[in-house]
Amino acid sequence: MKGFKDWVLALSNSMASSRPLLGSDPFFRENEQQDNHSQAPALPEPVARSETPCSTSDVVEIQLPLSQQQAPLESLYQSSFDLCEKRHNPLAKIGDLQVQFLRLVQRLGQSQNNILVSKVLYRVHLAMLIRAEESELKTVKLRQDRAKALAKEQESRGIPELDFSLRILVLGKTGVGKSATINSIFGQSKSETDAFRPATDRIEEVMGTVSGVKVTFVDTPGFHPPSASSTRKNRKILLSIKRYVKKRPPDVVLYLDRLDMIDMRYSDFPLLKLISETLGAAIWLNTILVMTHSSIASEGRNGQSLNYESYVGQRMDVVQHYIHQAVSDTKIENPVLLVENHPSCKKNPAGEYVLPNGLVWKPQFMFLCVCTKVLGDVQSLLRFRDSIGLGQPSSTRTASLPHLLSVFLRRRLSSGADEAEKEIDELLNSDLEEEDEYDQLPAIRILGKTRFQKLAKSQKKEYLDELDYRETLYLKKQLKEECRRRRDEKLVQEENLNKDAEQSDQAAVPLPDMAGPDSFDSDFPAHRYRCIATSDQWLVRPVYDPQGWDHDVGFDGINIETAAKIKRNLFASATGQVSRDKQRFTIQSETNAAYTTDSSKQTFSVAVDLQSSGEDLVYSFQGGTKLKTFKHNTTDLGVALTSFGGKYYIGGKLEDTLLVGKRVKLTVNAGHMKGAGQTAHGGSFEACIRGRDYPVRNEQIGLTMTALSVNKELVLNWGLQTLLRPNRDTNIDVNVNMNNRKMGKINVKLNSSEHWEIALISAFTIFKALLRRKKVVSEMTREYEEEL
Amino acid sequence: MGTSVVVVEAEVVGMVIFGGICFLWLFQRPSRTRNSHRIGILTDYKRRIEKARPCLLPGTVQREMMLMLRDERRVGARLLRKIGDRVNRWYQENGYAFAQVMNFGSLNSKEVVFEVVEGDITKLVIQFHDKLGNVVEGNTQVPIVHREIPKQLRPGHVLNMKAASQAVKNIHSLGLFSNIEIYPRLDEKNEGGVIVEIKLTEADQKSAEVSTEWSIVPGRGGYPSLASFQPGGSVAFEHRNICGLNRSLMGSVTTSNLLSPEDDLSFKFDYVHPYLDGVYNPRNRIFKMSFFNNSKLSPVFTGGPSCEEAVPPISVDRVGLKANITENFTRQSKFTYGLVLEEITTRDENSQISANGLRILPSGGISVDGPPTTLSGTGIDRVAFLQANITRDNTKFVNGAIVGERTIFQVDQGLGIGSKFPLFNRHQLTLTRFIQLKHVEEGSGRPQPPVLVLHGHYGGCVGDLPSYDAFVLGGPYSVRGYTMGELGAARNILELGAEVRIPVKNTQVYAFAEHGNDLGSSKDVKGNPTAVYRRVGHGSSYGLGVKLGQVRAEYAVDHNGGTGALFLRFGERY
Repeated sequence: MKGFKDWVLALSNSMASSRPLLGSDPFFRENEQQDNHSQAPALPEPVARSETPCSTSDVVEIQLPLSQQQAPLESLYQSSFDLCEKRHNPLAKIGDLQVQFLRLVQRLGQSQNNILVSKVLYRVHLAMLIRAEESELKTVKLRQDRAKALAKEQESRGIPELDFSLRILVLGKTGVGKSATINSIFGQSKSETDAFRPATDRIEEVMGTVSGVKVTFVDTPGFHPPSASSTRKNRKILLSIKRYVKKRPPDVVLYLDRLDMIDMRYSDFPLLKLISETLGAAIWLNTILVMTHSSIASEGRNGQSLNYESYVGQRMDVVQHYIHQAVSDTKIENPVLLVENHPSCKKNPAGEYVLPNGLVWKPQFMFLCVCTKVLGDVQSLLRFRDSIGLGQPSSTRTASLPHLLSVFLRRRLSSGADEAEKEIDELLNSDLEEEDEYDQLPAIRILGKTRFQKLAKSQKKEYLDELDYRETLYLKKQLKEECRRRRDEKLVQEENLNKDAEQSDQAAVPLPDMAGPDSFDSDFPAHRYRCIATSDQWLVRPVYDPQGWDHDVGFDGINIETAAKIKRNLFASATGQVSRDKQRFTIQSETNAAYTTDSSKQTFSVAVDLQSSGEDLVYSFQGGTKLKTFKHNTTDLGVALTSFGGKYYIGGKLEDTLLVGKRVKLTVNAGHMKGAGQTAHGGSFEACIRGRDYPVRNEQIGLTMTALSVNKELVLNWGLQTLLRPNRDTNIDVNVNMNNRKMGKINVKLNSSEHWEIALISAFTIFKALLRRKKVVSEMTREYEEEL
Repeated sequence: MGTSVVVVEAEVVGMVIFGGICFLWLFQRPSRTRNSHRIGILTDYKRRIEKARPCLLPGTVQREMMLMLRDERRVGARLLRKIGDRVNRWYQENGYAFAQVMNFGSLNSKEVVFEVVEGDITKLVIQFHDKLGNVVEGNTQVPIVHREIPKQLRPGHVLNMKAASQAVKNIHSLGLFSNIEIYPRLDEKNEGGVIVEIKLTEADQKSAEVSTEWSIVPGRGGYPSLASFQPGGSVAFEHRNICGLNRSLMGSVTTSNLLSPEDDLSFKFDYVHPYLDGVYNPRNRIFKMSFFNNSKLSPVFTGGPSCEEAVPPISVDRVGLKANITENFTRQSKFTYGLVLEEITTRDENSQISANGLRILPSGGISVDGPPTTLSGTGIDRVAFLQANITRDNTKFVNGAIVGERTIFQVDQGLGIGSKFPLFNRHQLTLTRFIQLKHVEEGSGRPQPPVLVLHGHYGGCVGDLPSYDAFVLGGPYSVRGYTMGELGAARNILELGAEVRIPVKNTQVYAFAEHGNDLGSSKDVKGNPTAVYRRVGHGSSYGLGVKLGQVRAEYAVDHNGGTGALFLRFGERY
């Protein structure tokens, strides 16, 4: 599809450069011979405008051996024309269009070898080649030459009547002379104008005939110059235009502006953007920029008189630049027309308006319109238009397959609300009936503060260690009790399953005010976040953005969490983070549903994850089943489907978890993912040795190894996690990660409730930072003073 | 002691109080039953009743029971039980967990008496427990806990579980305890009395955490090595409940290099000192001092409609000290005053100090001659000023809808200390009225009333005004439907808003209209950032929304551009 886009853009590109052109264009090779004959193709010769075709100079140049080929060609043409009636053959229609175009070229007094003409023909030819079917290729090649001949013949005979009409939509700010331009074209006052007030207040159609072509101008009310409410008013106008255009699409769009009003700080950019937004960026593909008030004294920036051409060029570039910005595409280039409607404008002997550079603008105007329409028609006939996307290419990004796979391997589907509890229950199940160690401990006398102070240091330590030991045992006991209670509860629950859950009839109690993040403002607006305690399952929290707006709280997103046991063995949960603003929309959510069979041996889970990435959304669906194959072994099977930017990725995985004794847990998984012409394999191994007092004390050592292979490239990753409790009040957490590219990370976390001294590191950091800041500030002020 | 009497009469006779027992009298037509020989017993009984205090049972319930009596000809056991159940039910519903009908009796042939034990609190005990459940000496001073306990839970009042749960909430909000339990138990010494035990487990007072991080990169010879020996990471510490008086010191530092920190350093130190006037003084003033930094985007330097991309963001880094005293008048009304010393640095996207606003030129280059960002002109400002905020807020929830009024007055007064000796006064007044449009009965499950909200906000500034402190128009709390600062930045602003909230099922839908105006004062901000960035300076918006719990989903139309957009926000607008 990209080819078409380039084609279209290049098309307007070539049209825009109506100045003498480079010879390197591929087109010239075809017409080299002819070019030798026409000397200055860019400048249209002044031709008297008349209703009957009168151009004679061009006839000579048609060099085709008409006499021999005419008859068979005509019959061929006719037959294909007939065919088109039956099969709606677009190629035939284009042939017809070509003939019409060539006739008009003649009629408007343009040389058939005018660069623009040739280019249009070349593009039409190219388009036909792109779309032509194999069998029609030959006819396409022949058609263009034949069309020229046919056009000449038809035009000289005047039969059949030229059936060509133009619908021209005229856009522009108020007072630039939209209606005046229309009047100039028709040579009579068909539309009301006023030099000082907006004269057109609604969409009007002005019809007439110019050079035998039916021309319909759609005159629109002018856009308002930038002001407070202009955007709204302009949008209103544009919307009405949009409705109008929908019913009767125009062939050509003219965007008018005053040449003398364009400066480097072009203030109409918002307007251009609004036009692209409302009417669609594609509107610019058919647009001709029209500069009114063109016969001005050109003055350069320094008051020096500039060359008229370069002055116009400069102004054009400004407008074109902003159009590029408005559609965010720099490829588009619009042809430019200069127009002068003032009655006192210079005229040539034939009474036509002449621009300061000697150009008669009216025929040029018609000619460009015709060219644009012909190309537009070709596009729509060949259905190119749908495939053109202007603006930045949206879906060029592709998802990284290894990333998707590693996420897929890591994502575990939850099977219920109380997963962690279940695991602990299982661990403790065996020794539930055993008597608690805690109960067997001898009684201990708790010391008061003063008596504790009196103890010797070693005694203090012993006393505290003893307390800690007892605490561990006590917590174990509590856990066991909890576990027992849960088991009993479950039995009870099963008995009276049908009993409805009681609605808690709590009175509305306002929750305490929220504490806000630090700020130098005088107060945190806690009243915005005040609420009543509710017993619903939705947990909603704000997401704080530390890089938010100054003088604002910075709660920009919303975090939502919910979990519900829908039925006894059906469980659903969802978490998500969403933020929706005027321009931005981000979402990241995970939903999960699980069904456990009655024997609680097997669990089926489904998950849908949604994540926004730029403008796009990443959807991923995941389904899996977890099967408890035998006592200490669980097998997990999963499939995933991820969609991103119109591409789909499919994956599958197998996971096995084995408990060896009470303290060792092994997990192995392997997965495979495919999509967008790529495949990735991966797997991981995880071993975890838990401490003696697990789950009361969370000591453990874990080892992970993962391997991912994409495009014959292997990435290995290994990691070590240890969680130790060397002392009664200290926890150390060490994490080491490495991959086979020798990149990695070491993380050490030290956490203590007694050794407060480690916090002194922060004092050191702050001290260093202050020193550094002082240096920077003194440098800054010195620089500033020097500047002064 | 400990019981009360509920007395209900068919043709209201009176009510008698005695001890903790309430008696409920029920008047009955004279029946033909023999009552002469009971007079002797009754005198004793009468004396008891006379000593009882009136029960808590409200008149409506008493009248309801009298109606029950009137309908019946005879007082049978069934009827008495029925009335007793009704009494019990009322007490349970209203949180009097220890209230119970103890006995039925009759004073004379006309009156039936119900003896009710309501559960008077005879003693309040505050205990500290260690993690093992042993009673220990606490570190926290008892008055701190005591002042959080509602009056209804003090001895002499009837135990109400609502008050108890309120006490748990209040104590919990101190943040000192990991476990709070309230155990009411019957007082064996006093009939009908209840002893309330509050068991508290103190949380760890101190904690410190250091987290460090080194990255490994391929080093010389292809062997993995550390990128730098200096670790990045974070340090956080906390010392709560200093001296057992709930004073706390907290701090955290995060940076990519702990030993020689760079611009990414972010830190925060807080010291909070409550009960400035003493623990026993009911006046509670809290002193708070914090030393911290933050970095945020300035809404002053943003582009107007459709030229957002043309204005590169300017971030405002603030570092400084803030010390203030807060006095709470009621739960919601308060007065805060204090001193702020801060240093402001304005930076561009690449965190280079930028003294002027930026603009992307059509050529793609960046012009750096926008409005000055700071007062000093260097990109770094230092300033000291006094700050005060007084909030009068008597809004309350009526079945979940906010009703009442709120007035906030804020003022910042420059002291002439700092770069260019800034002398300024910046003041803001916010008035919000929540007008209930229909009277509704309060109670859980009842519908919310429709509410009309009127809101006005005036901000003004006199004296030196750096652009980062100019008032901005537009944004979720200024004029909805616009992005922050989309309408402009000005010296004086006025915002007006109105919202109608209508209950639909359990939630509210609302319609609103808002307007913000710079009062022509945009040009008084140095460099006129409003005009430079093509902003209008004023604008209105209107829209519709729905409240989903704490989340607001609203569709707002910006009147300047005529476009609408959907917004999701957390919390209330007003």
